[in-house]
Amino acid sequence: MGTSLDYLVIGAYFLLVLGFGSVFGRHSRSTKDFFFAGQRFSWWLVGLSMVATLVGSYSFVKYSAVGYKHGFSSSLAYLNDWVWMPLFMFGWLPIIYFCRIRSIPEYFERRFDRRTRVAATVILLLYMLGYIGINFFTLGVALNRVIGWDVFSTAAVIAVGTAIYVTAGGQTAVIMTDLLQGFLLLAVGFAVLFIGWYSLGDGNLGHGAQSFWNSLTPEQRQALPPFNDPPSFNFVGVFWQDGFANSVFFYFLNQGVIMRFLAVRSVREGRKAAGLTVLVLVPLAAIAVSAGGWLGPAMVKAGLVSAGTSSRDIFVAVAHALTQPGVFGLILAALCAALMSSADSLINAVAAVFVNDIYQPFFVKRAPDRHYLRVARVTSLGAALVGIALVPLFMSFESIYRAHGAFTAAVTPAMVVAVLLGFLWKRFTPAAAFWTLVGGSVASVASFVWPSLVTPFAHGTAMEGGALKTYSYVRALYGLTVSAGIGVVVTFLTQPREPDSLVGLVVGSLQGAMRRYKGGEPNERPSRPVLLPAAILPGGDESGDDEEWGLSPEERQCVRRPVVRLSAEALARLDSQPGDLLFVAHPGWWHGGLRVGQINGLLALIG
Amino acid sequence: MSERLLTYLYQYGVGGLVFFGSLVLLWRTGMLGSDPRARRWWVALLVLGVVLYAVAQGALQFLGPHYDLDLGGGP
Repeated sequence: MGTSLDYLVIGAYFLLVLGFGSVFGRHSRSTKDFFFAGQRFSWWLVGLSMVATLVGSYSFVKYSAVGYKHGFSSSLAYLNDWVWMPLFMFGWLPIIYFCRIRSIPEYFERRFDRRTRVAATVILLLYMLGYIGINFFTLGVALNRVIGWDVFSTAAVIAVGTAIYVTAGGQTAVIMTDLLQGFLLLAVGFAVLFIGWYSLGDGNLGHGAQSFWNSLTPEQRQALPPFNDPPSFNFVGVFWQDGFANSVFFYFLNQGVIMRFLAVRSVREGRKAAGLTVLVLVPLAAIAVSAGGWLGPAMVKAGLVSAGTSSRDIFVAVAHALTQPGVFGLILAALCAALMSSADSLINAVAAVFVNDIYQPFFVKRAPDRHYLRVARVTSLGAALVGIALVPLFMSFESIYRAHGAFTAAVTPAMVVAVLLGFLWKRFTPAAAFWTLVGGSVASVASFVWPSLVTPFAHGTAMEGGALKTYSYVRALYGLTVSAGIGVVVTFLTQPREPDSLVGLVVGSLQGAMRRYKGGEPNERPSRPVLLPAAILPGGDESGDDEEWGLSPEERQCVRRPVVRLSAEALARLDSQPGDLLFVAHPGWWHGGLRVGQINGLLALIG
Repeated sequence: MSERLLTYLYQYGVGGLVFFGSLVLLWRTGMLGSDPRARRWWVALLVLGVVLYAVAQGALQFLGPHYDLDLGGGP
């Protein structure tokens, strides 16, 4: 299908992403930079970069296929996230931010115990490494169908490119490249929709929109699919699987997403980023990934696409029918962008989990930060290589691909219940958390062997397909219920932890968490920004500028941190006090936090 | 009850229960913050977002199937 110009566009885009990642990621000098981009970014930059993480390599093909068959209800998987926003923005986000949690398993140890952390680490690593492989595999398959490229070679080339910029730049490179890729993904999705309307209306957008709408059946115009039929796509299954299990896993437990939200400069900025993501960008992403499929019926009716086109091929068929050589290459580049932007977050997340939850606690406990940074870079590279190694495995054994899907479906509900009860219920005990993870996962696996276990939760959905396929969506409700049951029963049979040891780790202890984060009493008085004419003195007496800044010899001895000189007027405007945290940023909002620093503890107020 | 209404009520009934239940829990445990103005602003924004979702999905769910577009073009 592709022409030389298309291949040129793909190649140029690939180089652009590599360059972009390398340029913006060159400042990763510590593990905090590598994993959390120095916690300096603005809400809008993190929010916009989330689009690319929301859209996986399979999204355009998968949701266009569902959209072609079922119409607007293909967007349902994206449009259930609002349910969890209060808990994420005001419950989970402040807890992990103020506790300085570096990985999800670390939370499990601090809230529960070591063995629960180990169980969570194993589950998360298997989940993430499998997903890296699946992303590479699905893109290889997609490009193989479109332009005939070899599945493994395609996956390997893109994996190497992604690994290069993640290894070099860490989270900053991930965020900045995802920002670029997110714009491309939305632009391509909406371009397909509008060009489709334009073509259907013979140059008139309104007429094209009319033809598009009127070609959809009444069922395809509904926002929600039928309640419990067909078994392969029904409301109640998608509601529990995507709306409950997957949404909570994505926002509360997906290490890549958590690291993205921890890269913001404050909890307030994180809330704004989450608000932007769910209220604006998620609906846009839902439209972008489904548009090709929604256009399908009208395109077939107009003779622009063959009536025999299968739903799996509809996105590529519509895109190819609508675009000129070069523009089609840009659409293929968007498919690559969707892969790279999902894989980069996962690769960086695997490095974080390996360093924080395996290497540091079990192998090298005390080493300079640069040592862990080096290990993180090597792990990033290793994660990409494991992902590539899984591609031929998925190609040879479809059962392994399906087994990973089944594994994910089995562990997701148990992890979701453990984390929700963990931060919402003080009484929830370490033993209960451990057995929720183990027992809930085992119960879910058992439902693959005996699917009739799910029947009481199936809301009338028919049992259809093989052992791994039947009840593929509504199984989540069974898993959530059984896991919650285990958690509650074991909790009442075992001893909870002392309330004092849970400060900052559960809801209702926000002040304690903030006190711990700051190392002093929180100052919640609103302050106004101050424009500083001078630069920051970077670090104690090494710069040799102490005298010029008016520091006494004693202060020179004490100060080993950056120093900001403020006038009395500026101090009044900030309404700050000794010990407060001070953020220093470039005044231009468009920098988005790229040029920003945090002064931890305003020790000396120099008027 | 029609199937269309049932799915819509299930979506916003169960989803709304978790959403508003969470807001009440967070309010009572002080997690919404100490500044009343900021607290009200955030709650209003979140509720407005849900209302927009409910209106958009409701329009497609209940009105979409019954209305064809007529902008003076072809079929």
